[in-house]
Amino acid sequence: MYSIGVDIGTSTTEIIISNIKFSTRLGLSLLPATKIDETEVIYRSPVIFTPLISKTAIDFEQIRERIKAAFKESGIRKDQIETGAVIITGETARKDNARQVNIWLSEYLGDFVVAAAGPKLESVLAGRGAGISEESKKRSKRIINLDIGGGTLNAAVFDCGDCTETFAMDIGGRLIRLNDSRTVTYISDRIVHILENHKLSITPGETADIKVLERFCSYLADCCLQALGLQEMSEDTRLLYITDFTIPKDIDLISISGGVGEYVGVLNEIPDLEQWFRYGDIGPLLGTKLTQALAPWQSRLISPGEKISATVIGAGSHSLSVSGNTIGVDESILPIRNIPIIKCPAEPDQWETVFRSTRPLMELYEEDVLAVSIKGRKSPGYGELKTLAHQIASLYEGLKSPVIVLLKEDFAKALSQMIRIHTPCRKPVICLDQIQIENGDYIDIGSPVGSAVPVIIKTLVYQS
Amino acid sequence: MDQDLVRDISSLDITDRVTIDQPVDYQSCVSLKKTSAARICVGKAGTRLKTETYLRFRADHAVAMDAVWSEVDEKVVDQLGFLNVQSLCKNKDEYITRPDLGRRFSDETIKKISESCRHDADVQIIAGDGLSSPAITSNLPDIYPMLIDGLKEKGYTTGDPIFVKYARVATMDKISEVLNAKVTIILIGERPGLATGESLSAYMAYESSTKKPESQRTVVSNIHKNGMPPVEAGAQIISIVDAMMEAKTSGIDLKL
Repeated sequence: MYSIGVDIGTSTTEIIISNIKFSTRLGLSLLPATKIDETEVIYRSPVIFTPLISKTAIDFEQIRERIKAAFKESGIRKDQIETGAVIITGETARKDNARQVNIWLSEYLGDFVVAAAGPKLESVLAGRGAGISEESKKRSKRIINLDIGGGTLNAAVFDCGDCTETFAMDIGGRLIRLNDSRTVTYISDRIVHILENHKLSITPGETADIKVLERFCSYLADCCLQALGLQEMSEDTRLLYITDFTIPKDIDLISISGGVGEYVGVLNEIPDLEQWFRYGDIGPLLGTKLTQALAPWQSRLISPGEKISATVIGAGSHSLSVSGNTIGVDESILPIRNIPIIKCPAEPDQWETVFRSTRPLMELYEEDVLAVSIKGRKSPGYGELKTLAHQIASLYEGLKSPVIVLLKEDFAKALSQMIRIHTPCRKPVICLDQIQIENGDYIDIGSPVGSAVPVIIKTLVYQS
Repeated sequence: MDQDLVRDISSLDITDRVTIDQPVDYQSCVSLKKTSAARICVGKAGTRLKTETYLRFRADHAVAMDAVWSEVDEKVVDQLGFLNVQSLCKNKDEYITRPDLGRRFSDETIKKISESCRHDADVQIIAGDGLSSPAITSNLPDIYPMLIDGLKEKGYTTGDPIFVKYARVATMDKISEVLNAKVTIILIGERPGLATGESLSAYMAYESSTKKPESQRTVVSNIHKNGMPPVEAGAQIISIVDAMMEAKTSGIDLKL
């Protein structure tokens, strides 16, 4: 299955095409189990600056041309693409037409390509694309990946392969931009308070003082240390958080990816002045300052497998997962996309309250199709399952939506059977298990591959 | 009195319990333990196992022994309406030492089955104690109604359920030959290991027969509360029955 990844970031845009291979082997109970076998990146586009029409509008035409070129160069046809993600990241996601571009692109690319943005998902995908999820599993460690791009820093903590925490901040290599004669051409609104509070005089239209830029980048590097919990948090740094404020604990290792990550490394490879400003921004300088700031923790720093391409690889190769193998699906309504996930607050021992606690949450949505995620028990009894089935049937009563239930525990097929047989519900029923929804608000469900269905869990937060 | 008693050592959850003294990397041990049911990261006392590890090993072994030597609670099978029969084995001892007798019935038993059960059904369900009685006692009440529900929904006719005491898997062939069901399913206790004593398997065959090789059977194994949940296995078995009825075959000839 071919998958495309398009990352439209604050500063750069990149496209990859990967080949996702599935295999079916006998699982735990000697039943056939379909899993993702390997994902191989078969094409990488050059990294280009994100084309903009104005300061706030993305140039869709140019991006489409770039994608056309990618198909031509890779030899893969558009109609061969079955999945993937278009991810508009960082500051770009907040630009006026990001939502529109996303919708256009996923329509242009096909039905099952996700249009996704939002800091949580971005952080997870960057971490996976950088290879840190895999690395944390291999080493049995807690590793934090900071993906520092042009406009934002996306952090994800992976504990033995699972993402346990994410956050995002306004830290990036293109918060300040310069032209060839080092005149300041742009300063992001989000850092003005730092410049003022620290009396750093950087003014648009004036030639930048390198010493001041160095001080500013050192300051941003310190912000990173604070966010990593290595230094005491300051009030100014707190203001840089885009997501909820959090400081991760018990981090074993640190990895830095993204464009700035390309310049984080060993101390004796500090680039010269020419290189610092070669992209007309402060990216390389920030990377250098971050390397210096992290020097005392050098032994905890690991180099990720991917740096600038981490997010696009994450989007193209790691956005897809597969459900469990014994699932209940009414194929007539698949594939479906952009289904909001309502998280049922009832604990596993309170299934009799599922209706009462979740129906009011469902009524807040305008969408016709809704999915509910339930906290399950490992092995519910027949009677308990019947209780849950009735609760779910009444949840969906009177709504247009088919029944879509997402579980982490392995009893989806049983639940769908129970709903069909023992409740008055006569709608199509889809129950999926082994679904982790911690970092997602929406789900896409594809048509079955072997004994499972491919799913993409995502967030669709377009910030204004 | 309770406070004078020592806690049952087998009630302790050891799935993430690390008993190495001063491990260099405790967290890695915990995650390693989650990948395996083997007794790893247990530490040692000199060249030997620690007392706790040793006692737990003995306790788990005892659970396995008990699973083999105990009897199925007949109330459980009676309540679900199973017909109670016995293989040629007279007791557990004979059952363990004479597998051949565990596969056969006396002429009277065959006659009883033939006279009291429905013939020519689509699906015949059998339960057998096999090597673990707790596997039946703890899983049958959840898996059996799931099977009945599912078969009914699909429109299949079901035979009268039969419980076989001292049963080997091959008793299903004998019963199939007597009752002539299209698909025969036996739910039977697996040989217990040190991880669980309650694991159940479902062996299924299309036109199950003593003349066919073992490869006629399809199996769903590892059914217990910490493996494949019994309710889920029930729903899954329905799909397999469906596939068998359509392909008119089972075992290695059936592509799932």
